[in-house]
Amino acid sequence: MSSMFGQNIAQIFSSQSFYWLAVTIGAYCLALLLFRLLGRRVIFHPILLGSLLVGLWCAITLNPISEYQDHQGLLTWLLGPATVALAVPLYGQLRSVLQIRGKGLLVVILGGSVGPLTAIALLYVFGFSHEIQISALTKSITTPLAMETSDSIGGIPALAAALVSITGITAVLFSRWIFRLTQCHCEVAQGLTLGTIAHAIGTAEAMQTSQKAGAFATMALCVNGIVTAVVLPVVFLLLV
Amino acid sequence: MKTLSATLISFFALLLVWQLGAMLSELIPLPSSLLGLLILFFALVLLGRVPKALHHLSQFLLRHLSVFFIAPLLSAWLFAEQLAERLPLFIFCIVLSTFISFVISAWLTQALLGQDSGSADKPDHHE
Repeated sequence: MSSMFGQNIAQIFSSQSFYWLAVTIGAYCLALLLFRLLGRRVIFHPILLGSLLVGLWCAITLNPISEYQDHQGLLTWLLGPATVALAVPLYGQLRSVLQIRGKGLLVVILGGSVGPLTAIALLYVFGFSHEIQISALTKSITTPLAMETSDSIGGIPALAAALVSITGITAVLFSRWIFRLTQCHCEVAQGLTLGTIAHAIGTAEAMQTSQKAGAFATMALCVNGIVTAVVLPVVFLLLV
Repeated sequence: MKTLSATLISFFALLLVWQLGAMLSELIPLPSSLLGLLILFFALVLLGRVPKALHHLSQFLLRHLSVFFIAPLLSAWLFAEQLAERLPLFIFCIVLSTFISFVISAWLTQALLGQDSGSADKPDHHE
């Protein structure tokens, strides 16, 4: 484990890394506070506000954003243990998962395939490069899995991560409207859909609806993440 | 003090499991964090319960998972410069595909699961 996405250990633990980690966490805390003060509206999501604040900080301190990107290795590194922690809620939901068994799995797998397929089809139609198309395949799974999977199938990890964030925010913005449109009023179905399409961002949204919806969103997030991360490299190994 | 050390031990356990996953990913071509997740999952199945400190730590980490999305969203800005005039089209593709897949997924899930779960407990939705 000497390198991760092209960064070596010394770079990950450099003093600049700690500086930018502090800036990011500070921005996130402030964004979280604002989000709560402004009535938890999706448009003020901590991810959006947090990115704006970090961007603002870069502008004020005259640091280019590329400088920030070069030194956010520590945050990426911390993402590893955070992803491993997903095993805990998945284990906690073992009974619910077994309860809806086949149907639940089918729903997550079908829903999880539609996203990447429509994305790649649209990007292909509009003539975007092969690398960009591949980076969009992991857009519905949580960042760490998306970055590593994208890396192994020839996508651009940073772009994959950006797409994951954009997808999550978009889905949550549309969610209430789509649930009304499709008459999807069941908590289990809402949770599963949010977790399948919008990974961790959707799970956070589902948690606000109810604990039950949150639990099923967690399950969908884990299952879709695992299935996508397993299936894509195998498919590419067989095709390429 | 006791809870602090228990939390630290849980954190090191997560790091250790993740590193195990990284070692395993040399043999199996899957993401190391995914392998770590699976190792921890099966360890919990064998153990039959979740240690309290690990439960609290993972809840904390997952509640604040959003912090990890800030950097990628900012890096989207760098790609925005690269894509230049094709950016609106690119965003359009991503938003449209998200919208389509979300509608299909919501409809499908409701159709397949809606009746049996919906009848068991009253479908209440919060606006």
